[in-house]
Amino acid sequence: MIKMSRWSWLFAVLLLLLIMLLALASGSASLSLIDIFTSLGHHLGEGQEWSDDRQGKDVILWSIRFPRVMLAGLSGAGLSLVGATIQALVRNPMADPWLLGVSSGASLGAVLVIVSGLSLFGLASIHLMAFLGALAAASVIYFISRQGAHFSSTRLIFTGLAISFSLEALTQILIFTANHQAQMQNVMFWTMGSLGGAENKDLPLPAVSVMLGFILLFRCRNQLNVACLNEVKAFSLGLDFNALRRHLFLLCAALTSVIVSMTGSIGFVGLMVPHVLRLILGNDYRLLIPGCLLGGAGFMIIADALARHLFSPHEIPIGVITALLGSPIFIVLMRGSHD
Amino acid sequence: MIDPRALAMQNVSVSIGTCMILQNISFDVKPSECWGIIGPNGSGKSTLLKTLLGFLRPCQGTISIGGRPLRHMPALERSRKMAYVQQEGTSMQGFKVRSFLELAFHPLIGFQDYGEWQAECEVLCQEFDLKDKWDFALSVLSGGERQRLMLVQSLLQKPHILLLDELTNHLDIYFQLEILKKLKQLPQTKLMVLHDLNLAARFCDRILLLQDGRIFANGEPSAVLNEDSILRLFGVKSRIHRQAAGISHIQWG
Repeated sequence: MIKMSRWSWLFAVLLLLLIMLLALASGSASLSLIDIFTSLGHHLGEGQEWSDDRQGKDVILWSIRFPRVMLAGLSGAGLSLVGATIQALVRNPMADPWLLGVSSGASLGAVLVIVSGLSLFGLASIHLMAFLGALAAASVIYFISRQGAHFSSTRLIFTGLAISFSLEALTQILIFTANHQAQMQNVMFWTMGSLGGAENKDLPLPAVSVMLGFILLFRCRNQLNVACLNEVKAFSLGLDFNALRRHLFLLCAALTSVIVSMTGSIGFVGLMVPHVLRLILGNDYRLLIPGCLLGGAGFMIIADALARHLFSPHEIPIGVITALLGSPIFIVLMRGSHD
Repeated sequence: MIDPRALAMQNVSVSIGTCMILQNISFDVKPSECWGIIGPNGSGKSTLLKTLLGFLRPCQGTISIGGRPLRHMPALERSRKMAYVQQEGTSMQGFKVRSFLELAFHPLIGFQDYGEWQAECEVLCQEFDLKDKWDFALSVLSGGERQRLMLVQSLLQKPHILLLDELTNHLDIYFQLEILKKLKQLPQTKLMVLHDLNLAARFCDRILLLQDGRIFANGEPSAVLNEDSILRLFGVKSRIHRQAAGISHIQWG
């Protein structure tokens, strides 16, 4: 465990900014850091004549890479925050956003639209149905997990698993009925996750959701620490565990639904990032919550840059990179840990 | 005005599912008294403490603290009045001694200055021989050190009432005697589940004997601990050595 001073946090923020800059620069069309700063300067008012080449680079930078890098950062931060929170709420280190049934609910909603060709809400229908599917799955799991006024961790885990498996089975049946190549590619996006379609207009909703989620979870940091103790001890310290679980479960379900509806189902991040940070920072949620915001964002931006870069011009699903990159880091840190 | 350290249970019964664990329990604890709760395994001792804490809800009867009913007391207010030390090790993975103790400040946020509280924390750690463990991970502490740490954490909640479930487990004889002596001098009202009848006779002002979820006897140690009650409760023969101040020693067999 390391101590985090103000300087350490400042260093972490600067490191994240550097990662973002490098991610903006990397890709099939190469951009230098000078290109990025020149373009930034131009947009901030130091106007000068654009050549065609510069204009092309500007479009790539702000219309393609910027929304993608931002969405990667926001989804990584959001999924890590949710993972860390759910682990405290169910007191189970294996818990992750997948346990809320959100990913499988979102996939089912999206695949239903893709395969059936429903276009009631135009282009937004896939995102909308994914969001509704995610929220519906989380709500079902929440209501089944309740035992009167109490909220059972064991029930939540088993209900989450059962509902997730059922929804995935339904998704598989739908995929089985898909017969067009285009449909299959879209389905792939939802089952493996991708940030490829990100646009600037998509950013405000996840940005507001992640920042709001971060602020609310940071306000609950002391309660989350107390929640890590056993139930009677936490009660003795004045924690209303049932109310905390109820409120934060809904917050996590809504936040994950927003992210998954934008990016598809990206696994492993919500489980792995909080655990790696626990090994570095300890279990103190006063450090873990800001740590997840910065660490989750940084990790996902790196994973997305690798997904674009490794087999350029082809792109590999980001879920493959998060698993390939995350597992060895996780194992190395775990082996070196004494606690 | 009733002393906030006074505690009363009136006709309390507790059931879990269809199983009645406690039946018609009534007693009054005066401020600052130290009570020992004694009984064979499964007699309802831990359930009694959890019910007093408010964690388990009675199916009948009332509990009051300082004359106020416990049932409608807000969670944080209740935790400033009562603290609980449990028998089984709490989940402590990934905490350092310092951050574990800081959890006790949670109910006091807005009620006490953090700097003052921290100074008190250091004094208590010194007193309970934990000062040099300040930066240790909890996983490397011995069972006895953890037990002392949990007691210090409970005291840092600044409660009027302490509920202690088998506190002396894992403690060597030196710390058993030291901690019980210190507890005896504290102004808080104390209710503790104990298995060692000699320690209970020596340190408790009153003893509550439980059998099958009912009160078997309630009174001063010299009045309730005798060869007959011990035989009927535990099925063990004993010989009690008495002196003018009360019981001096209980001999087994």
